[in-house]
Amino acid sequence: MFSTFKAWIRYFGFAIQTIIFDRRSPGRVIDDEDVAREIFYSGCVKADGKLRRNAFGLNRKKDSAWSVNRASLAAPKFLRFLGLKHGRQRNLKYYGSAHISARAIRDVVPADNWSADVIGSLNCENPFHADIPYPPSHQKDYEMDVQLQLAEAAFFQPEREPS
Amino acid sequence: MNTVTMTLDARAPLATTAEYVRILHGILSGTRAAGAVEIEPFNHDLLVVDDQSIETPFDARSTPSMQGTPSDEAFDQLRTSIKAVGTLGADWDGYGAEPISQQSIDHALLFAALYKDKAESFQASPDSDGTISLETHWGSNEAHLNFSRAGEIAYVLQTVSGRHRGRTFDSTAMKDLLDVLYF
Repeated sequence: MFSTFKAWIRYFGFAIQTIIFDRRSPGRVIDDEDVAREIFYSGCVKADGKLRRNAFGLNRKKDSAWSVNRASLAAPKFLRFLGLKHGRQRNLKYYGSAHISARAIRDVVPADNWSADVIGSLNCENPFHADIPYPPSHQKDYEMDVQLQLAEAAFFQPEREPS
Repeated sequence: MNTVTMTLDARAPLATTAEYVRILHGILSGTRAAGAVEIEPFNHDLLVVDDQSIETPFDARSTPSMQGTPSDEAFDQLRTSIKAVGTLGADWDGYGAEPISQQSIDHALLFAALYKDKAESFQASPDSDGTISLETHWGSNEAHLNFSRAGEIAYVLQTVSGRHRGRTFDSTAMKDLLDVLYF
C-alpha cells in the first residue's frame, strides 16, 4: 500500500514536470523510455539468457495488449514489489522482467502498414503501467513474427533485490 | 622414447574399458528397443548363422544409432520436453494463457519424429494460445514452428537472406523446406 502511494507521489512529480516543462502528455511514452514486462514462466528465457517469443505471449481471448511497466520512470523497488505481488496473486514465481525500449517497440514493423507502439495506461495499482497494443488480427505466422521481433529487441533482467 | 612407450601402455587398459562400455550400451539400447516394439517369441529353429551376418550384423551407418548414441538420447529428451509442455495448465504464463492442447502436442511429436537424428537442435516451448512451438538454431539461422490444434504449422524462418514466414498443413513439405535451408 505504501509502495503504491509512493509510486503515485513519484508519478505526480513526473506528470507536473512533463506538462509544464516538456509540454507533452505524461501518458506519452517517449522513445528513450525503457519498459518492462513481468516474467512468470521460466521457459520464456533461454539458457543463454535471451528471451523466447512466448515472453510476449499473444492471447486475444484474454487481452488486447501486452502489459508492461514504465521501468525508466518507476523506482526499481516498486517494480520488484509489483512483480512479486503479481506472482503471489497468480501463485507463480516472479523470475524477472523483459526490458525493451519504446524506440525498439516502434521499430517493430511486420510486412504491412502496422507498426507497434507503447502507450501509458495508468491504473490505481500502478501509475507506471503501459500497454503495447496487439496488432490487428492476422494469421499465426504474422503474430509469431511480431512476437519474435519484440523478443529479439528485449533483454531479460532476472529478479533481484535492487541495490 | 621411453616416455612414449609408457604413455601407450597406460592408455591400453582405458581403451579396452571404453570398448566394454560401448558394447554394454549397445546391449542396453538393444534391450530397450526390443521392449518398445512387439517381438515374436524367439524360435531357435530359425537361427541360421552365416558368415555375412557375423561380419556385418548392422549396416555400418546404422550401427551408432542402434547403440544409444547422443542422437537417440536427444530425441528422447525432445519427446520428454514436448510432453512436459503438454502438462502446463491454464495461466502458466501469468497472463491468462490457455492450457496446452493435446492435439497440438501430438502434431509436434509427429513432426519431431521426422527429425530423430537432429533432435538435439530442437527446443520445445508453449504458446499462450494453448499451442506448442519447436525452435531450432543452425549457425546464424533460426526456425520457429508452431503447431495448431488442427495440425497447421505456422513458421518463421530466419536465414541469411532475411526472414520468411508462412503456414502449411504438410509436415513433409515443412521438413523438406527446413532440410534445404538448414540441414
